[in-house]
Amino acid sequence: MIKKWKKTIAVTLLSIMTATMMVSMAGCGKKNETKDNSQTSIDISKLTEEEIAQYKAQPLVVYTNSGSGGRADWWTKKAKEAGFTNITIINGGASAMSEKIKAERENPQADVMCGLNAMGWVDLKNEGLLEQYVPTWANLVDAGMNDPDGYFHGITKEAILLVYDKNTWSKEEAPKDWLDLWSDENPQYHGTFQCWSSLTGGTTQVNLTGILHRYKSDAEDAKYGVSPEGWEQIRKLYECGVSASGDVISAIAATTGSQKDVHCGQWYSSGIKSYSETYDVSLDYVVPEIGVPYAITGCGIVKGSKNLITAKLFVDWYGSTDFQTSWAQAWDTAPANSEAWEAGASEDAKTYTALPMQEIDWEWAQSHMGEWIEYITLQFMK
Amino acid sequence: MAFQKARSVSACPREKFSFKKFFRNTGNIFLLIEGVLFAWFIFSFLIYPNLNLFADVMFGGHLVDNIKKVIESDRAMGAIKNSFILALSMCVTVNVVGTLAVFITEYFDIKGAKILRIGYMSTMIYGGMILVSGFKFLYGEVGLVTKLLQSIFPVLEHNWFEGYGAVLFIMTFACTTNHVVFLRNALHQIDYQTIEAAQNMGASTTRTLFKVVFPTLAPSYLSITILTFIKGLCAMAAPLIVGGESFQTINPIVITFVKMDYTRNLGSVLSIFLGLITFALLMGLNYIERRGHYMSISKVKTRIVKQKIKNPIGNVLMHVIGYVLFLIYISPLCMIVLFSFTDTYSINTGTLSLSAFTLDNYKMVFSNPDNYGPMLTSIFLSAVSVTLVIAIILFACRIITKYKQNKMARSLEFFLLIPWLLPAILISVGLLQTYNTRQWTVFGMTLGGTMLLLIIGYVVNKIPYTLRMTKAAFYSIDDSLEDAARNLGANGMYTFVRVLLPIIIPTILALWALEFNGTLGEYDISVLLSPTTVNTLGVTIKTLTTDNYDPNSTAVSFVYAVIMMIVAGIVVYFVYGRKGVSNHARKTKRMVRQIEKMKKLRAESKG
Repeated sequence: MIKKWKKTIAVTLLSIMTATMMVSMAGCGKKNETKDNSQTSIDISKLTEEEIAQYKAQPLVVYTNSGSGGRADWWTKKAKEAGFTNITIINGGASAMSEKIKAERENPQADVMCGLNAMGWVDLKNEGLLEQYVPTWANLVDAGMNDPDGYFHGITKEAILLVYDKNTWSKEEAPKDWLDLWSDENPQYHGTFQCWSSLTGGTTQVNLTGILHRYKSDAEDAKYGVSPEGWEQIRKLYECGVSASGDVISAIAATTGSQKDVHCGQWYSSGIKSYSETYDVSLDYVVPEIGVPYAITGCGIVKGSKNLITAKLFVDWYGSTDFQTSWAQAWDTAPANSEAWEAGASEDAKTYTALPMQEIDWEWAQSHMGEWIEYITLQFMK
Repeated sequence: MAFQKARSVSACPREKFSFKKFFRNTGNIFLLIEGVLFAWFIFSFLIYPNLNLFADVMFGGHLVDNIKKVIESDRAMGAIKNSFILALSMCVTVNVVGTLAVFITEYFDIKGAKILRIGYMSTMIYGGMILVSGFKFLYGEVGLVTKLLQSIFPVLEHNWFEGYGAVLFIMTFACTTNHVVFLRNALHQIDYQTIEAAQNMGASTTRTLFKVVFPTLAPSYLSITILTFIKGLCAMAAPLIVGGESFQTINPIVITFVKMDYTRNLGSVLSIFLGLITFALLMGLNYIERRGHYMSISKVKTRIVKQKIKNPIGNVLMHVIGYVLFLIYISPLCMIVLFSFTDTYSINTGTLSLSAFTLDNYKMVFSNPDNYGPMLTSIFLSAVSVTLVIAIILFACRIITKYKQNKMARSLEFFLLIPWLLPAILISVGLLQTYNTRQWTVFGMTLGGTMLLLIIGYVVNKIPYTLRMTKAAFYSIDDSLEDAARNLGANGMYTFVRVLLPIIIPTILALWALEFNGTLGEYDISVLLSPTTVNTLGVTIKTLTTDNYDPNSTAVSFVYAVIMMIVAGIVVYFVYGRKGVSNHARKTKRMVRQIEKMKKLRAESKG
């Protein structure tokens, strides 16, 4: 009995498979039809106001990782007021959103991406997933924050700082640089800082780059673009650091348990005020001689966007002085757009983002980040 | 039984195959359609989307390098070792605690068993990070229990609850859900007459347990033990939070690697390695199940009656154990609810003070309709996908258990377990990459950006677990019932719906509730496969709670945890509450009453 139907199933299956394959081949044939490319040739600056309004009302999908905490709602409202009546903002983690764009390569769902950091943008650019477009506000952004080839442009900047508890150290006693924390000359800092238990966070990756970039090397003994001396620093970092769970500020605030020993760690500039208020700690920060690494968010148009003109109009509006000023006022960011920075950024934000910037080759960092994470996770982490 | 069936098949004289005869039997046609559909489903959604990945891992040329990298890393090897230690120890501890939990509420006559059961069932409505946080509030460095213990034993260190013991403790209490649900169902399937007979022959409580009850429950124990092993192997939240430096496990490393492009291949290698071990275990289990003849459950069933423990010391001991377990189960849940009314400072420092109590977090979540709209979406999506996966698996199990000697039926099971090889993120990436263009496997449609793909993502991820538990339920069915139905002239479909389904419905309902609760706040699949118009709960929570700029986000995540517990609790109530399985219980009670009456009559007539 069983043998009988086995045979038939095999035969039927095979025939059905071939049939579907033939049908779908026909379907696939249709797919290669030339896309409607009429939008690419249109020059936005020559559009009349009426045409602009029409284009703005087209459907537009924006992926972002900077929409959390109610920002996406606020942002959607502002965009609708500005005429983008058909806008949908999808918010998720940075890596999830860029993963989504990569997986949707053949049939892009997003028109614009906002957020990420320099490495995330270089990654998308190298994958050929971005559309070239230089927005009207590009010249207002500080040099080094825009892509020289015009694929993505800076939106906000943020300093990644070494913060410490003022009650523990005075300015003189405090470390002067990250490297002091684990150097042999300064045993007083050993065991006072939190070391990374995960390397997937954007802030952590920027900071890691800031440390490794000092040891950038093409020499023969270099491993993953970093000299052996650089890796020695990472080894010591883990040797001398405390692997406490939770965020650094709550560890600094803790008065009992193993976290009571944590007095400093990495934090991003815009979170210093709100977190030190929440945890009732007073923090100061270190400015190393080499400068402070900056995390730069940006925006760019996804290749294959179905409404290219709308996407371009949106990018023009999103980075504009007007919108970035009100964004900075509402959410306390430091815009990359210098006019908006002047007009909208709070005093604190201005102080932090006026710190000397550490020069970093993000292209280099992006090309090695995967190797670094693998190497550190397998060899140094505890 | 199975052996007999096989022999009777081979004894049939071999006839030449004829299409006419084959199609005259409607059962055959159904089977054929089922077979074709399964072949299509498995190929399209389990194999095809992952082909690239498998090929990359196996033939991409990095396999040897990757294995070398892992072997050379002390940390990775240590983590793998720890994972196995944890999994093996859990097989013991979870079985002990789970058995106690089930027998205290269902087998022994313990005062307040109903309340105890609610406590033991608490893991059905929450898990993961939230559950571990609950334990940490109690036993962590600044936890209440730690403080209490330190006031008694000042030498106790802050971090006493860290490392292997702590991880095992949490994992043990987090993973007894399968016992509370499935072992309980199996216990209710036992024929009480066998227990009575043993007692009449003078067997003690312990002897009855070990000679009659446990052997009958063996198939359930086997399945649950294997699932426990897998859970231990893939432990994530507990080792991350309380493992400390001494006890980190492999799964957090796997997930880190899988999330990054560069390390994805290495992550997949590790993941497949863990998956293959799971596979081997399951295949072994299948072998034992196929050979087993231990499911000899009587045809005329008498419902189980709760046993009084005769030994007074044993009785007191059992009561004490019951209530201590209850406290361990219920206190983390209480902590979560309590802390959801406080601010982030209290949550992260583990301190409770009256001034910190606030309703702001609840207000924040409920004041914006955008925050609870996704809740309805997720309830709908979870319900649909869970129903779908159970329907699919019911058909699959029917084929697998009915034709257990057939190679194709066996390979069906094998293929359905593929999702256990890969983490949810990889499966979702594969589905999205494949179905974002027109695909011949789905008749030239584009599934990317539709609700259907998201549902398929949920379904695919749930298949292995559903299959494993449903199959165990099928094995508890007495073969003779089906034979009897067939002898009375019922056809296959009728027998399935009217005879078999009612027997396994408690398991199916429980499974439904468990998986529904598990899907409600799902993030990894949802964020990748959601259409642009759909907002699921998991993504919304992540959006609200991973906000770097708002320190209060931790508190909001607790509010959501409580809300999800309430939804999950309602679902569990529907399954186990008045209308659900308790109907079963009421019938049982009635039957028990009749038996008692008969016993009395018999005793009186003897007297």
